[in-house]
Amino acid sequence: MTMPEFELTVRGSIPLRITHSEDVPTSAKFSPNGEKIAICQGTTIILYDVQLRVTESILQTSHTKPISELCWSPDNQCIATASDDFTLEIRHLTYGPLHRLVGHTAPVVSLCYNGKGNLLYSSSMDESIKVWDVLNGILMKTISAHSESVVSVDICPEDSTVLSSGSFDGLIRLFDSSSGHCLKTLTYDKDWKSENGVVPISQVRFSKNGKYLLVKSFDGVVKIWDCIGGYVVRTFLALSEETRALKHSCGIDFLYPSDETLAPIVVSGYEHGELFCWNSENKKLLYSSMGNDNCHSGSPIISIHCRDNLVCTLSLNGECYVWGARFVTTVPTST
Amino acid sequence: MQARLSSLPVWCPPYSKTKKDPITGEDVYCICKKQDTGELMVGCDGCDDWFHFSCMRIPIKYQKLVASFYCPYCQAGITGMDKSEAEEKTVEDETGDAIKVRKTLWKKKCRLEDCYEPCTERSKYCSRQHGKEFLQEVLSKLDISGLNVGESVDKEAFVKTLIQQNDRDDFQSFIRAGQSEFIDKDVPKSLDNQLYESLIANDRKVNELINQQSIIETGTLPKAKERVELLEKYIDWISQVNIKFNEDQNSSGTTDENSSSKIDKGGKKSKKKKGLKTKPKKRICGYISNFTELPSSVDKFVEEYELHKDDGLTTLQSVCIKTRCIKHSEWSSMLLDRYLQEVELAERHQERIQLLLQTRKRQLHIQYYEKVTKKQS
Amino acid sequence: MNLLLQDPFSVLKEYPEKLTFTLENPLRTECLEFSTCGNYLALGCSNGDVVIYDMDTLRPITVLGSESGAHVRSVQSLSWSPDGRYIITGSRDWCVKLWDLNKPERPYRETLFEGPIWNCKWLDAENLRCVATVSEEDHVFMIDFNHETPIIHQIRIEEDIESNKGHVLTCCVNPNFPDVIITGTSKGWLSLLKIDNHQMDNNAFTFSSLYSTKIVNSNIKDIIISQNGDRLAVNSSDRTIRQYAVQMSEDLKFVTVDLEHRYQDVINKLQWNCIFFSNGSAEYLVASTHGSSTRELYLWETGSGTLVRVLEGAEEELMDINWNFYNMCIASNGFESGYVYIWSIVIPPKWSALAPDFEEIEENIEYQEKEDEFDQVGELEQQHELIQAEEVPIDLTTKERYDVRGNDLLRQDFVIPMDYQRILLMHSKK
Repeated sequence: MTMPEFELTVRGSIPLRITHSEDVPTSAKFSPNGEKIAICQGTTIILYDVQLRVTESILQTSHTKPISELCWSPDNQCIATASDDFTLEIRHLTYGPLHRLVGHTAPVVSLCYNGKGNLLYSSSMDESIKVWDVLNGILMKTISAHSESVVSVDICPEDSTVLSSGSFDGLIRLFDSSSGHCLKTLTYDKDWKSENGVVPISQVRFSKNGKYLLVKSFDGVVKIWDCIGGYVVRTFLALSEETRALKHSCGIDFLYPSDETLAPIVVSGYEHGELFCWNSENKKLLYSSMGNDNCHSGSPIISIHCRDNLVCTLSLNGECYVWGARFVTTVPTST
Repeated sequence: MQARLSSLPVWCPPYSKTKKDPITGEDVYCICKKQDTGELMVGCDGCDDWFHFSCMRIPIKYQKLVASFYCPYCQAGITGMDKSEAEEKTVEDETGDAIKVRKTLWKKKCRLEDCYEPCTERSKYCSRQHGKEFLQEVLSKLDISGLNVGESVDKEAFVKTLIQQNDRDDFQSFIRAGQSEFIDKDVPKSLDNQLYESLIANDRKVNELINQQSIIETGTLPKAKERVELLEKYIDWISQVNIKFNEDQNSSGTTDENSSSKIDKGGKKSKKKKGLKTKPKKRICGYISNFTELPSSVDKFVEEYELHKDDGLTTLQSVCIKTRCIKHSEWSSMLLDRYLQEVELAERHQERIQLLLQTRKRQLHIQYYEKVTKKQS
Repeated sequence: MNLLLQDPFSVLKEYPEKLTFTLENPLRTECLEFSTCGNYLALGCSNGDVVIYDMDTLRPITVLGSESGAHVRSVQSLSWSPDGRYIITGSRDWCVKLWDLNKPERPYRETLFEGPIWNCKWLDAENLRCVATVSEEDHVFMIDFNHETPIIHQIRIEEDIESNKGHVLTCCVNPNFPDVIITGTSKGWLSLLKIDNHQMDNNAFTFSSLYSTKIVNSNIKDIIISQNGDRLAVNSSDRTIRQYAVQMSEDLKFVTVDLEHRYQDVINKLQWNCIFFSNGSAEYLVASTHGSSTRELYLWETGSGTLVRVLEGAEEELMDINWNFYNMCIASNGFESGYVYIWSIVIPPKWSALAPDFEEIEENIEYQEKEDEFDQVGELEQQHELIQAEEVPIDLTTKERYDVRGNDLLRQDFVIPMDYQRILLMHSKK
C-alpha cells in the first residue's frame, strides 16, 4: 500500500504592518470554530476572517506594553491576552473589555483556557502559574513550582484536569489543575548531565487525548513525552545542531488529519524561517520549507497554530501565512 | 485577615538587633548597620528604623514617590508586629475586602517620562506645565501624513478641527472627551457616512438588542402588568364574596344566635357552624384556574352557594369553595407574587438590555473613531 | 488521566471522608443535586431560586430564570438530565419547570398543577418526560415536556384508587426498566407501576400495576433505587429505613421485592431526613437524621448492613444528600443556615512528583546495593534502548473510555454558557 503523500501549500497571507519596534506580532491563533484568526501585535489584536480573507477589525487593548500571547475562549466569544505589563486582559468581541487581571509581578508570557472556559491559566517570568476565575475576574490560585520563567502552559481541551508547564529551568511539570499539586515532572536524566547544563523549555503542547506532550526546547529539539510513563517516545531533529538552536521561542503544534487512520503530524518552526513537518508515528519528514517556498524571509517563526487541515504561521517580521495541508494518494508512475 | 508572611529578599542579610556600634557606641541604622553619614534614608512605618535608599535598592530619584515604606524585616513579619494594628495601612483586595498590608506603597508618578514627582490630586501630572509638555510630546509624535486632509494643514490645526467636529462646543466639551458620556453619545455620521452605515447602523447585535427592547416594552411588560390587574380584580371579587358571606352569617347569626347551635343536630353541619361562631369570619378558598373573566356577580354567586352548600360540592362555577383548603392554601398571594415577579424581572431585563446596548455602542464608537483617524488615503 | 498520575491508594477510596468545603449559599438551600459528571451543583432555595454552583470555582455561575419565570416558593425537588443540558424543578408554587441550560434566563417549558409539588424525577430525558408527585393527590403525574404546552398524564390505576392507598408522596424510576416507576404513599403502600406507550400514538399511554404491597403503617417519605436497579431503600416516618432486593424478569411478569436490612437509630430513635445510595450496585447507603441533636451523615455498607463511617464536620442538622461519583463528593444542606457542606476524598500532594528521581517511602528502608546498580551500561546499549522506546506505537488521539473509578469518560456534562451579561452588570454597578 502506498502512503498518501503530504502536501503543504500557502492558501493566503495576512497583511501586517510593523511601524514601531514595539509593534512585533507574537501570536496568531485560530478561533475554536475556525472562522477567524486573531493575531496580537504590540498592544492590539487583529481579527482576520478566514472565509472572506479580510482583516475584520483591529482592537486596541488596555495593555501598556506588548502582548506576548493570546488565547481564544472555547465559546469563540472572548480573547484573553498576556502582556509584558504584568497583566492579562479578557476582552469580549462584542462588548469590549471584561476583566483586567492583575497579580503577576513580571511579564506574563503564556496563557490558556480550560475546556469549559471558566478558568484561565497564566504563566509568567515571575516563575509562577496563576489560575483565574473568568466569571468573577479574580485570582484563585498561584502555583509556584519553577525556579525560572515559566514560558509555556497548556491544558488538554478534552480533559481539563491536567495542566502542563515548561520553564527556562528546563523542567516540564504536570499539575492537577484543580488542586495545583504537582503530579509529575518530566526531565531527562541526561539533560542534567549535559555539558551546557539545563536546556530551557520553549513550548509545551498536549496531544488531543492529553496522554502525550509535545515539547520544544531551546536547543531546537522537539520531543513527544509519554505523560504517564514519564519518558520520551519520539524525538524530532531538524537542521544541524548550530542552526537548530533557538534565540526566540519558535512555535510547534500538532496537526490532526481528517482521516483518523493517519498519524497526527508534528509541525515545527525555526529561527531562520524554516518550517518542518513530521509524521508523529514513524518520524518521517513529510515537509521541509528548505528550498520550497520563500516564506518568512528568514525571520523566526514565532507562532504556529493548526486547526483541521489549516496551519497558521507567524514570523517576527510580520509575515503571517495560512497553509492548507492535504494528503494525496499518488499512483506511482514509471518516469 | 492577617498579612501574609513573606520571606526576605535574597540581597537582605538576616535580621540583627544591633542598634549601636559595639566599638564606637554610635547609633547604627539600616540593614548595613552603619552610622548616619548623611546619605539619603527613609524611615520604616513598621519599626521606626531608618534605611538607605541604596541598601533598599530603591533609586534615589523615587524619593518623592514613597507613600508608605516598610523595611524587609517588617514585610517579612520579623519586626514591627507589636505596633498597634490600626496604624497599618489597609488596602482593598480584588474582592473588595479591606486587608492589612505591610508593604511599601507608591504614589502615582507624573506621566511625563523623565519626571519623578508625584501627581497632584485628580491629575495625571505633577503640574500644569508637565501636562502641557506631555501633550505637546504626544502631538509631535502624531502622524497624519496618511490622512486625506490636504497638505497645508498642520497637525495642531488638524487636531483642533477634529475636536470641534466632534462637538460644536468649546473647551468644556474637550475636557469631557475621553469621559464615558462622550463615548456614549451618538457619533457624528458626517465624519464617514459609509463607515457609519456599515459599522454602526447595520450592526447585528445593536439591532437585535433594540428588537428585544421593543418586545419587552410592547409585549412582555404590559402583558405582565395586565395579568396583575386581572388577578387583583379577581382577588377583590373573592374577598367581596367572603364579606358577603360574613354579612349573611352575621345577620343570621345575630337573630338566632342562641338557638342555632341547639337546633342543628349532629353531623358535619353543626361542626361547621360551631367553627364559624368561634371564628366569625368565613372564607372560601376561592381558587380558580382561569381568572381572566370574573364568575357571576357577587350576589348571584352567594345566592347559588347558599342553594348548593349542602350538596358536598367542592367547586362552584370552577371556583374552589372549600372553607379550609389545605391543597390551595395561599394560592392568591402565591399567584400574585408570581405575576409581580414577572413585572419586576421584565423591568430588570429591560435595564440589562439598555446596559448591553450602551456597552456595544461604546465599542462601535471607539472603533468608528479609530477607523476614521486611521483611515488611509 | 489526572487520577492515573495520583496515588492509587488515595484515589480508589470508596467514599468521601473529610469535610472539605462549605458553600455559604445566602439563599436557604432546600434541595441539591450534582450534574452527572460533578462539574456543577444545583441548589433549590427556599425563596424559589435555583442557583447553580461551578465546582471548579465553588462560586455560583448562574441563577435560573433571571429574565422571567423563576419559582416564587420553595423549590422542593430538582433533577439534572444525564447529559447535563436540562434541569427539572418542582416547587411549592405548584409548578414543575423544565430549564434548558443553554438559555437559563427563562424556563424552557413549564406546567402548573393545583397544589404544591413534592418531587419530580426524569422518566425519559431524551424525550423530555418526567414524573411528579403533587400534594394531596392519589396518583403520580407524568409530564411530557416534548410539547410546547406540556401534556400531563395521570398515572391512574383504578383498583389502587378504590382500595384507598393514600396520597402518593414520592416516586422514583427504575434505571433498568425506564418504563417502570416505584411509588410510595401516605399509608405505607409501595407499588411498582408500568407505563406503556402505544406505538401508534405517541401521546396515548396505559398504566398497569406490577406489584403493590403495604410495607409500613406510616408515610413513605422517600424511595431510592440503585443505579443497576437491584436494590431499593424506603425511608418512612416510622423512623426506619428499609432496604430491599428487587428482582424483575425481563418480561416484567415476575417481580420480587425482598427485605434485606432495616436501619434504625436505636439510641435516639430519630427519623431519617434523606437517604442516598452509592453508585453501581449500591454498596453503601448514606442518610441524614432528623432533629437538631445530630449533625452527621451515617454511611452503612449495604451488604452487611453495618455502619462503616460517620461523616462529621457540619454544624447543624442535615437535610438533602447528593453523592457524585466522578469527583467523589457528598453534598448535604444544613437545616438552619441553608449552607451546603461538601465531603470529599483528600489526596495528599506528593513531593516526589517535583523531583522525578526520588521516591517517597513510608518508613526507613535499609539500603542494599542491587546486583546491577553500579554496572557500567554501554553507551550503545543505552542508545539502543532509547531507539526502541521510540518505535513503540503511540496513540495521540483516543481518549480513555473509563476512569480508574469506573466512570464513563465519554459522558460529558453540558457546558453552561458563560454569563457575560453578569460580568458587565458587575462592572456597571461598581
